[in-house]
Amino acid sequence: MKKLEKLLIYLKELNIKPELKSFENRLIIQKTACLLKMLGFDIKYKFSMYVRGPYSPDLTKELYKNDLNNFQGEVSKKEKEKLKKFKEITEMNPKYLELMTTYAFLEKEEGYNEIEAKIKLKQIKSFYSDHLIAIGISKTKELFYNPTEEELKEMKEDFKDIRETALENVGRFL
Amino acid sequence: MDILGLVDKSKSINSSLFSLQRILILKSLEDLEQDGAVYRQLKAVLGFEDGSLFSSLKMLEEMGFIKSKKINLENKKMTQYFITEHGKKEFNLFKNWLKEVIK
Repeated sequence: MKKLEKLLIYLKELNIKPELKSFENRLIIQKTACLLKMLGFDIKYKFSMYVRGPYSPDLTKELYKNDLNNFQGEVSKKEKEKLKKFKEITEMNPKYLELMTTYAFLEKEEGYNEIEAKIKLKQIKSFYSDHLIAIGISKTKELFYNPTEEELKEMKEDFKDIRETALENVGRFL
Repeated sequence: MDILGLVDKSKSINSSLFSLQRILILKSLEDLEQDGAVYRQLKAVLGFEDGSLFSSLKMLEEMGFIKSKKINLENKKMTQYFITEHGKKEFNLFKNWLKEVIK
């Protein structure tokens, strides 16, 4: 329960209800746990690549056998800040979470280089549009990159037009 | 195990499993337990055409190896597939037999 407790604390901070009836919510929990682990949060579950993308069968088992409302603890100040950034970037959107987790996992855990990871992502998430995949990759880079304030300002300005156009196009295709 | 032993043991296996597609589908669903996978995930990762994937899924479902459920994901109706207890048991029999063959 201890390792699950940590995750439940993070989920609470992200306003994710540990509700297992919906497939979408279970997907959000799995992807969030995997991304947080890769970001260095205290998540002890082992993730491997399955048809669903990175997935932990152990996490699913623990989620089903424990009382998910019975946990104690708070996130640290540093974790709170990092989780805020996580929430802003992912928008807790299942599509972004799915793309971001898979892309990050291919690069960080499976040893793919940037180009290989992009090709593989397009193949195994072929049901998503190219625009959505591009946004997923851009968001992953943003999440894992730690720029200085100055760099961040410049980057946002540089990518403003591209991002707005991409978002407009995604809206049109959805 | 000699050939006669392998033949004897093969009688306990459902021969409808002898298809690469069906084996890959069961392997994909085996570890996902109650979470299963949706059709589009199986199609994208396994790389099968719609027709052959659909007929393999239908056959496995008719054999009682997998079951399906309609769900809502990203505001779309989708079909989620899971392996059944019977499917797990039969797939294990098949895997054990295959191990004997390649020994």
